[in-house]
Amino acid sequence: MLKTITKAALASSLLITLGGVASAESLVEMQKNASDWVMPTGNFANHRYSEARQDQQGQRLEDGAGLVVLDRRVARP
Amino acid sequence: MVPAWSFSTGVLRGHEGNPLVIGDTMYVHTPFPNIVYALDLADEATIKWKYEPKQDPNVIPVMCCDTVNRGVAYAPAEGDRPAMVILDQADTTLVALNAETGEVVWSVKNGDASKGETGTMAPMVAKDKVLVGISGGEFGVRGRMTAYNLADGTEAWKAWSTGPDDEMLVSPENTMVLGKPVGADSSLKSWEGDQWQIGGGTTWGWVSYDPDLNMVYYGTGNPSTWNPAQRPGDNKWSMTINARDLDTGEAKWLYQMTPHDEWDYDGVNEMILADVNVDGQDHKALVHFDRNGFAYTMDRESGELLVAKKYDPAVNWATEVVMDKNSDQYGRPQVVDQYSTEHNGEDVNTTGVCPAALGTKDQQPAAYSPETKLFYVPTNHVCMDYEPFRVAYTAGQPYVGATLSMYPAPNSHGGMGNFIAWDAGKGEIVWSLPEQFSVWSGALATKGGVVFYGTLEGFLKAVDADTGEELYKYKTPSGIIGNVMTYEQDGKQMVGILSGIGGWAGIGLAAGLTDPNAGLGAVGGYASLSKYTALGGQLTVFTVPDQTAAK
Repeated sequence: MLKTITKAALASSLLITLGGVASAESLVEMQKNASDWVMPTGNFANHRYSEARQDQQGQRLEDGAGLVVLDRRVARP
Repeated sequence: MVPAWSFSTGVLRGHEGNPLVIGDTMYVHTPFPNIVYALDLADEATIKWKYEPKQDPNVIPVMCCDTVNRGVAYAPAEGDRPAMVILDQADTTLVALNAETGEVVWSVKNGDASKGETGTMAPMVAKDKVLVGISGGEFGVRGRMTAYNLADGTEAWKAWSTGPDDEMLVSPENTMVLGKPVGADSSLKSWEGDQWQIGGGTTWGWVSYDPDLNMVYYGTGNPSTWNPAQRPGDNKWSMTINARDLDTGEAKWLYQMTPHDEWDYDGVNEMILADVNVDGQDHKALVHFDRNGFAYTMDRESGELLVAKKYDPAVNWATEVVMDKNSDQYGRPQVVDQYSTEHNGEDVNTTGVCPAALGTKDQQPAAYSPETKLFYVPTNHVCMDYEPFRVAYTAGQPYVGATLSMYPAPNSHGGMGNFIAWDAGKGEIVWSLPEQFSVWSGALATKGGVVFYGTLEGFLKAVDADTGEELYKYKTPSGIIGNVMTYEQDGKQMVGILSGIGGWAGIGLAAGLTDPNAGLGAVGGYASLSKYTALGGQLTVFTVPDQTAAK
């Protein structure tokens, strides 16, 4: 739930700060947010890559910070 | 890793592309009739709104390779304009929907389905524009990329793939080809008569954008017809990587990969923008895995050709792409007579050509990991027989002019696909996983060192990014031709994939075809798919169940 709130707060702050500028600037920022998948190609560069070890502010999360990421260890059934 | 939840789209045709997630909303699209669902991820994926256009079903028979759609694009709100979700409908209606309500904000016609022009691609939003191409290379459609203004759907620019310079937005002096100005009338000089007007070069793949250079990149498809004898010349600018200014559409550089195509090796596959080191030098590169079986690494600023190597050893129609700048063949593939349908002529069956028309890779997009610096590429391992014949053009009727049959690459592992890791600086395969069928699913790479893809049998697979070792697989309800995506929900990473057999490879099942030569030659080769899967239309979302597992 906490994550959901953080996400919503981020979304509205993006609207406030970037609402008046062209879409590219906000999409350029939004594509860096690993919580979302904002365009068909993943990002403008077509990487289809996720930096799922970061939180919404782009900070590297410490181990145990609560965000679960799929890595080699946990992908196994 | 386990399935967390699933959603039925209500449509039983090939599901290409992937959903989007913005905040707590997921946008899921379907093949024809091109429904868009907005799902509320904060409320157990209930349906916030649903858009279902009314389209003339007569568009279905003019879609060459199933009634696919590759997804919607998202445009953030700006000023008074709401955030929008933009859909390229099969009937070429480009429609912008209010992302909150699903109401139509604007709608524009991007083509004419009565001429065989259809919409299948995912539009691309960049700055104040949305870019969309056109499908119909099997109907003599004249390809073009069109940019529309997000504000109201009016046209900003249109760049035709063939014809006069001004219509292609090509400058004889400023548009470069392998380091030299292209010169006047580069397209017109490469066709006989007015064949360029029905000459294809359609634009149904993926678009990429470099915000720093303000340039967009995309490829053009096959020249029409598939019978090369009917269109002497290089047929420019079909089969070409386009680098254009986003604001004006002007071509900065062009590179034609397969001059005078004889095999239907469309050049529309994705252009991946990455920093690549070639021979000790760092480049702002563009990496492209072409249908023709060569993987190209180019300098995306200048259009210089850096690497062109086969990414499947089975490729036999050409020996190499000439890299010597002083050669008059510089940048051209060296065609092998035995596999040249032009050399062997009309009404002659040229056999054993690798790859088949659907290419060493079709539109199913590769992924790139900045961590491993590797490209993860879903591939086809399929060869063909190809017999061209003379065909007359009638608007809205198939304009193919070749009979094809397809089969697994001979003298190999017997399967029809591989999933490979590729070093784009060296032009080498790092590892390769054999697959029974073509891998017609787009890949996903993650910082966690896991790479995902789907298979035509319906498996979602997770493999180790360094070694290719299989970590997990799960059989979804139908064959996968969609692209894997990921997002976060309630603090957990989720992985989503659309199932629904179809597309060109699965057209036999999707359209109920049984003649082995039907489906442009694909039906026979993939006939045994019916042993593994059946029609479907479903999103499956996976997660890691136990948070402590990550520590």
